[in-house]
This record gives sequence, C-alpha cells and structure tokens, in this order.
Amino acid sequence: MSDEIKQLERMIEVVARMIPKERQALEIYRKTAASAPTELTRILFERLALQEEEHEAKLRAALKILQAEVREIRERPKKGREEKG
Amino acid sequence: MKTMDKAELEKANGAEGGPILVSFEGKVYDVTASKMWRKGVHFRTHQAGKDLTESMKAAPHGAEVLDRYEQIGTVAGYKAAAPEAVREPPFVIDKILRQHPHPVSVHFPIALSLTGALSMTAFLAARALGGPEFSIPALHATPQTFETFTLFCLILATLAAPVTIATGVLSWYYNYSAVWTGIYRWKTSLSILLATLQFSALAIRFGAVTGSDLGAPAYWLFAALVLAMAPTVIGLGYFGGKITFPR
Repeated sequence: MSDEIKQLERMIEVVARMIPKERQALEIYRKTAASAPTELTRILFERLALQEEEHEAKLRAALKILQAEVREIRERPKKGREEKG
Repeated sequence: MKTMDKAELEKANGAEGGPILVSFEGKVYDVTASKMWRKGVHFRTHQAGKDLTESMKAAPHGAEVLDRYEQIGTVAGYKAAAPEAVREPPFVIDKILRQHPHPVSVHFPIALSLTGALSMTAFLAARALGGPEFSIPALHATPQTFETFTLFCLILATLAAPVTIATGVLSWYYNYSAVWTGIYRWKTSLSILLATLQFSALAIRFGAVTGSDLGAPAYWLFAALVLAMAPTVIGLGYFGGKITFPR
C-alpha cells in the first residue's frame, strides 16, 4: 500500500470515527432543546444542534472526497496499464 | 447576466492568464482577483472552472466567502442535487443499536478468554509444581478444577463471540460508514483469528484428547490455542478502544 493511500486512510479513519460522535451530540442537543425550561435555553441547544448537524455534513462530505481520492490513486496504475496496452 | 454551460466554465480555469471562474449552486463567480485562486488553483486541491457545490460542504469555511466576488452568470441547466441520504438503519436495527449491544457484549468474550487463559496457566503450573495430587485446600482446588474452569470459560466465550462479532459488524456498517481502513482490518482479522482459535480448541479438546492428558501432544496444542486467545482479545480491546476513546 502506498504512503499516499496510507495517509488518506488515516484521515478516512479519523473522519469515520468522528461522524457518530457529531450525530450523538446532535441528538443529545435536540432532546435537551425539546425539554428546555426556558426559551433562551431552547434556542441555545437548538443552535448547538445546528452546529453539530453542520459538522456532520462537513465530515460526510470530507469522507466522500477522501474515498474518491483513494479510488483515484488505486485506479492510476490500471489506467497506465490500459494506455500502454 | 450570462448563462454558461459546463464546457465554457471549464475553459475559464486561469490557464494562460485567462479569467478564473468557479460555480456554486448554479451561480458562476469571477475569482480572478483572489489571491487564494492564483493560477486557477485553490490550496493545491480545487481547480478553477469547476463546480464547488460538493467541495464546499467539506471546506473549513462557508459559502459566504464567495460573497466577496462578483456573480457574473449562472450555469445552464443547473439542478440542485437531492440531499444524499445518510445510511440510516431499518427501524428494528436502529432500536437494537440504540441499546449499544456491541460495547455491552464485547466484554464477555474478552473477559472469558482472558480468564480461560489464566486458568489454563494455573492448571499447567499446578501440574508442573505438584502433579495431579496438587491442591489448594482453601479453595478446594486441584489442577482438574482449573482445567474444568478453563473449559467452562472457553465454551461461554465461544457462545458470546458470534453475538459480539455480529453487533460489531452492524455498528461498523451504520455508525462508522463501513469504511475499510487499518483499524477495521485489524479488528476483522483478530475476530476471525479468535473464532478460529475457539473452534479449533473445542474441536481438539472434545475430539482428539481424552481428559486432560498432558502426555498427549494434542493436549499441548489445545493449551497453546487457549493461551493464544489472551493476546488476541487484548488486541481486539486495544483497537476497539482506539475507535471509541481519545486516550
């Protein structure tokens, strides 16, 4: 496995591990907002939930990009061989 | 305002001093004046003349950075992509996963395999020190007690392992986006090794040896397999911890 793929896989691993944590935080903030005793705390937790939602979306997009990069690198030698052939 | 097609946009990539254009959600922006898009490349990653809608989701900044630049046109026939569905588990699986079955069940094969290996060590040590007549009166224990306890742990660990593996696969698929990287390769390899050790050990103990006959080479193979389970489950615990806990 090339160093480039290893580095990308390390990043994929970090991103994949963080997605459920963002999701968990999002769900906790949403539940907390739903039972907030005051309008101020409800808004606070809803905002926090929105931020986590955004983080999760960013991580999912990053995961897609990183996986596409790995695929591209893996296909490189194949393409080279096809062109030579 | 100009309407551009994809081919026209791709030509505006800053090559040979030409304009540097990018699109986002169907709008075309002129970023020629931006220091961040010199020679049509942004952070050695993004090429001008491309649509940045997908890349923006992963960017450390929001789409508001484009407000600094003039929108000079729109992309012909632009259609916003439907939001990508997150891999959501079916209702029943979701209910099961919410009970955290993997973290709950994973302790059983680990603890039982370690205890089994420890008990096997005690059995071998007791036989080596005092032979079959060795006993610990306070515990009412003879070497055979440790051997029986080892078997008991092995059987329970073998019953617990498939549940742990199945819940681990579900958790990996739905929580960790089914990515196939180093940690998950290690966990899969060690799980397969553990199951192989368990089934082989049981097959040898009940099929190839009679009782705890230390004179039989097959018994030593059985003992070695039981002892090998200890580093295997420690490895599994290590990689599981690496996924879940920061330190």
